[in-house]
Amino acid sequence: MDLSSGIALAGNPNCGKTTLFNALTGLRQKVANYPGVTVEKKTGRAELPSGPVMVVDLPGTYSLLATSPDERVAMEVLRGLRSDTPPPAAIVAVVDASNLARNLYLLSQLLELGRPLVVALNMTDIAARRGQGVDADLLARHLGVPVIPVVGHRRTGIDALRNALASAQVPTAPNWSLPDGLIAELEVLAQVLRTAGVPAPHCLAMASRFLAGDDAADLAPLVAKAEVAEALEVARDHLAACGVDPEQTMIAARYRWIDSVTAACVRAGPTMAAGAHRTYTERVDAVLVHPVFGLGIFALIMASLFVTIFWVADPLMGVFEGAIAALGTWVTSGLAEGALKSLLSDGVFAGVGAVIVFVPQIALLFGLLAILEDSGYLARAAFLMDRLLSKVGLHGKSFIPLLSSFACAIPGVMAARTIENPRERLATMLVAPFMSCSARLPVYALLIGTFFAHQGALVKGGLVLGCYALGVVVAAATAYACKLFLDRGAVTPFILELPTYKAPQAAEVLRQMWVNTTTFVTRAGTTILALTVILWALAYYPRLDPAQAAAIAAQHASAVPLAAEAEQVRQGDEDHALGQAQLAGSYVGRFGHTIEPLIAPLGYDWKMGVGLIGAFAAREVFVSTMGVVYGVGDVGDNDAPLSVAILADRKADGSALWTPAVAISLLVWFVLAMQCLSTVAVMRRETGGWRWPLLQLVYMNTLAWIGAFAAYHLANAVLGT
Amino acid sequence: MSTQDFIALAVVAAAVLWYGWRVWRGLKKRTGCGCDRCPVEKHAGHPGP
Repeated sequence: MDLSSGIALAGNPNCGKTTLFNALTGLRQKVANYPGVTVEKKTGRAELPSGPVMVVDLPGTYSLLATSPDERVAMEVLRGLRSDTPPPAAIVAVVDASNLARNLYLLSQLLELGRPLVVALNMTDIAARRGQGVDADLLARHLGVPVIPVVGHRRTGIDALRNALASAQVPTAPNWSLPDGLIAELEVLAQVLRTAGVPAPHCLAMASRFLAGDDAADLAPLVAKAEVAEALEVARDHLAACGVDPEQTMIAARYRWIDSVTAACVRAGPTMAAGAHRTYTERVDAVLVHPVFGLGIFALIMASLFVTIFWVADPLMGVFEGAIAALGTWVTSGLAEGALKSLLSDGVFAGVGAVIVFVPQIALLFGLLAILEDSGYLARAAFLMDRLLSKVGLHGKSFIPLLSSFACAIPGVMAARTIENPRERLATMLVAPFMSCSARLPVYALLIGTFFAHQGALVKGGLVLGCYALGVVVAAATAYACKLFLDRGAVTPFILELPTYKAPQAAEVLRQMWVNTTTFVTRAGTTILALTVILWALAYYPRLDPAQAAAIAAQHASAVPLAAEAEQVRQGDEDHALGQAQLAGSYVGRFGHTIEPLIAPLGYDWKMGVGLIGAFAAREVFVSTMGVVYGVGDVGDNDAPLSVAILADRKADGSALWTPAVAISLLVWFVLAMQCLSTVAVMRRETGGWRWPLLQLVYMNTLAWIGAFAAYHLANAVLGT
Repeated sequence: MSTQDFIALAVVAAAVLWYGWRVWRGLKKRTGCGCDRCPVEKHAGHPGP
């Protein structure tokens, strides 16, 4: 069988489709978006006995009568209606054995598609634990297609599935036992469709779709034909006259078929039959989704997550710092003093290196989030959050866009498309950038690691959690304001399926860590590298006037010969003064001085201002900018970590430039400010104009300025200057 | 101008060109009308969403 056009994995949400996809494809995966929509397109290459084939993991859907954008994509791929994805040569219908009846509805529609089909009966282990046995052979006889029992996360049954795919056949659609009147109308309509050019084997299924109210794109050209439109209208009139609702009748017929199949193939064991025992998941859920305990445990889990990030990542970051410093020294040791050496040591290694050291924290964050997701806990968190979200005028569906925004606001804003209500969607998009994205983490880690270095992981983790919490609180307040001032429109209910709890898979957790870490490293090696090089040039040129340099040297000269140690101190002071003068006279220094009056009330000097401007390209550029700025400033001490250089910097009066109050003010600024221009561009596209993105830009940055101002003065009052 | 200056400025010029191109491409891609075809087919004569 020719499978060159690929295989599609289809199934309900949470049926273990992605786990099976990972088991089939390993790490040979590519994640992108379907063009023009926010729906993720996951493709991978699987090795079958007949050779390698492309596998596409479709969004979960309960039916082929799509309502949301992701369901529409799944339907369009399966029906071969998308120009960006070839029609699949075969379909793997992933069915959750522990919820067979519910999964069979979609399967009943897949059987009518006219494409070769194999059923992967997944989660048989969970079904067995519930005392629920599914007879796969009997099910295969009822469905007329191969049924392969698999356990995706244990990789069992995968080889059998591969073999079955190689010989998959087009199934025969089941007989739905429809009323005679409806069958007669379907046959008349099918005859008209045949005359209109529809291939004979598809006519009856297509007639059913017309009468069921399907509005998929492949039906539109047929409806445009007068004879089809007329036949459809006549059929509907006839059925209405007989009191038959075709859509409801066909749904009821499918459910009767589902009942008969499950009655024949599912054996309820003693646990199920007794019905008195709650399942393991139900028992755990009684605590984890409890209105009070659930929220407490949620807060505890999140706090542990951030504490763990600091506790585990700290030693690893030290290793990274050492390795980058050693590499920088090795690369530049053969070069004479000059522009190229400065570019490499003060630009590339000081800037990009300052960002790269945060790789362990990024990897840990995504690894821990993957554990929470894979275990089934994140869905519970969404359920818990729905209660709170609805209070501030957001929708339960806002949780996923907001959660995505903790990685990056761009997919978060785009994922808000799944929210039907326009006000709730707009409010979600407006507050999404308040969620602390992963680009902010290096900034938080630098500031907290520098100013609270001697505090334990608990305090440091608590401070990071505080930053995340501040973003969430301000987002909630903003959403509440939207609730008061924007028209609500129609109310849409929130339906969420809670998956069963299961042990997280190490392979999936490692995959998530790998994908997100490589994205971060790639970004550091491309965008941040380019910006660092540009920033270095702006800090390196124009060069200090030789007369001014001589004057500075003269100021630091000593009239009498000094002892070796004193001479070293004098030389260090002279180098520092020269570096500061060079930086102050550079393009970046001049620009920083221009904006200084605007940021001075927040406790920042012109160097921090340069960092804040750089952060408008990407927030973590603040760290690399500081790396470049201090790499240039401390000419004699290039290998010192950024934290040491920051703490050593002094104002003209000799007092510390960077204080804990400045650090807290900067943290508040980074939590609240809208600095990501890519997010502004996405907002423009998603809202169809510049009005909302510009309002968001002004609102968030004004709020950030006020918040940073208040934080600086409050921290000064509490901690002292 | 020394050889080091020349090489460093060439690297800076390459960084400016690359980053400028990336920003331009990103804006072009992200400011489409939001329909199912943009920015793939550049509106292709359709009215948008």
